[in-house]
Amino acid sequence: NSLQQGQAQAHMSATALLQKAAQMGSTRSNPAGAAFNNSSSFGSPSTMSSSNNT
Amino acid sequence: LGSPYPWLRELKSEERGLYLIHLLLTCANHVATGSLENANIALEQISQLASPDGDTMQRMAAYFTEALADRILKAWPGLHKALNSTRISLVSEEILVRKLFFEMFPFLKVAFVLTNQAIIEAMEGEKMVHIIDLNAAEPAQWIALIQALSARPEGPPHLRITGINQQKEVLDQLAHRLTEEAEKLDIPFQFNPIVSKLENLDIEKLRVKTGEALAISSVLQLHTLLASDDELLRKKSPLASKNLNGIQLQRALQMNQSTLGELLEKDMVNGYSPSPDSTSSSPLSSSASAKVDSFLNALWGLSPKLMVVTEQDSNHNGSTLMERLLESLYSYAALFDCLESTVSRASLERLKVEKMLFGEEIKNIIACEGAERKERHEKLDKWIQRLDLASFGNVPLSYYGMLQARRLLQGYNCDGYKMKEENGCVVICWQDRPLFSVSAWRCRK
Repeated sequence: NSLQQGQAQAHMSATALLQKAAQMGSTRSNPAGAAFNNSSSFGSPSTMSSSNNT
Repeated sequence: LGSPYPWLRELKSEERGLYLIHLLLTCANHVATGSLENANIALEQISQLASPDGDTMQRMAAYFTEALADRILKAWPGLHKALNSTRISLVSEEILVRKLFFEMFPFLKVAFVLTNQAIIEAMEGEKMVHIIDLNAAEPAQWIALIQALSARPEGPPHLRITGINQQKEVLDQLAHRLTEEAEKLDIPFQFNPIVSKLENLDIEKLRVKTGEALAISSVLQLHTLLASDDELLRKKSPLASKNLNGIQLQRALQMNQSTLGELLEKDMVNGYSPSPDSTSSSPLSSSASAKVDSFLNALWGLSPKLMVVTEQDSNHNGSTLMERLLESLYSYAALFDCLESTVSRASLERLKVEKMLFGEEIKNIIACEGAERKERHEKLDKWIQRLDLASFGNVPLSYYGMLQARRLLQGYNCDGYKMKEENGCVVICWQDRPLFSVSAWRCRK
């Protein structure tokens, strides 16, 4: 089922996203976490993926 | 386009997913504290990103955002009723969705295999067997049991199945299928249908006779009896208790073992000061319900030889919105992930299960309070305490039952599904996330 594998590779699972969100939130020094931190930083969501190596 | 946030549409899947989580938590916090204008802003942003036919997080977010909006709307009962005034609940669709859930996931099949095996072992040598199914709908389980009993070395027993369901047509169909199977195998069989809600069940109608060996099967039913009436009085309107919710948020975060709580804590609760003794919530007292206790006592009074209980193994019965939101995000993420890895995104059946089953559960967990909140899923340890208090003693599930269940799971050819044994009970997981528990009980004198 190549379609399903493609589907799975194209994005992280919801579970993995929740874990990642939790990790980012718990690391104060992480700039990605900071971007996650308040709604006024709307302009820079792309920084969120810069430290992503999962 | 007209969107005030055009860049939102350009996010990649992962960024979008993380941002959706952030927005959902922000929104829920505004809902809990009653800042509706801010909640509205978050809802608008979520609507740019969520989608019922998108990737997993987009799909989930669509139902969580709907649930949060529903909770807000309930503060205006007129508005809420008007917007739901033409809502139709089609029995046929509900039956279809239950069936799809049974077919698309292994959970109920595993529960049925374990339940049947426990019944067969407990009923060995019994000549009169009576089974009560607290939510009778799916014939597969009882057809399998009829077949297994007809092949018993000591010969089949006289079998009576009492099925409880709110819908008469479901019971009619079930009666037809089971009677047909019993006739084919020539085993003495009787079906006793009871059209009733579980909470209104008249125990007398179960017609339990002396001399028959009784087994009770409860699949995803007992949690619906946890709603307590005093809670209804306390929280007539979800937004009336906004201050309570705001204060309890801190506690909710401390109680959540995951670090998502820490994210929230920094992210959104800066305005609140912790007040650790604002309310008491001891393990069982917070969810104590006379209804479930008296129901369990009544079942105990029937002296069943065996009772098998399947429940959602989640903690969705927390007293605050934020607690329930965090826990349900994790559980439904696992359920939506199951579907993502086994069913195509374009599947209409998948959409139906997500919307009509999970979406409705999420809405109930998030938007409802008091007697209206039926989806009060609790973890196995709570059920063990509660059943123990009602004088039931645990019966370890047999090695053979678990072997059959494991084989069934392996047959799915999907390594995400896992089964754990916990003190003779079984917990079925997606990856590391426990989702359903199965446990067996007998009357302790």
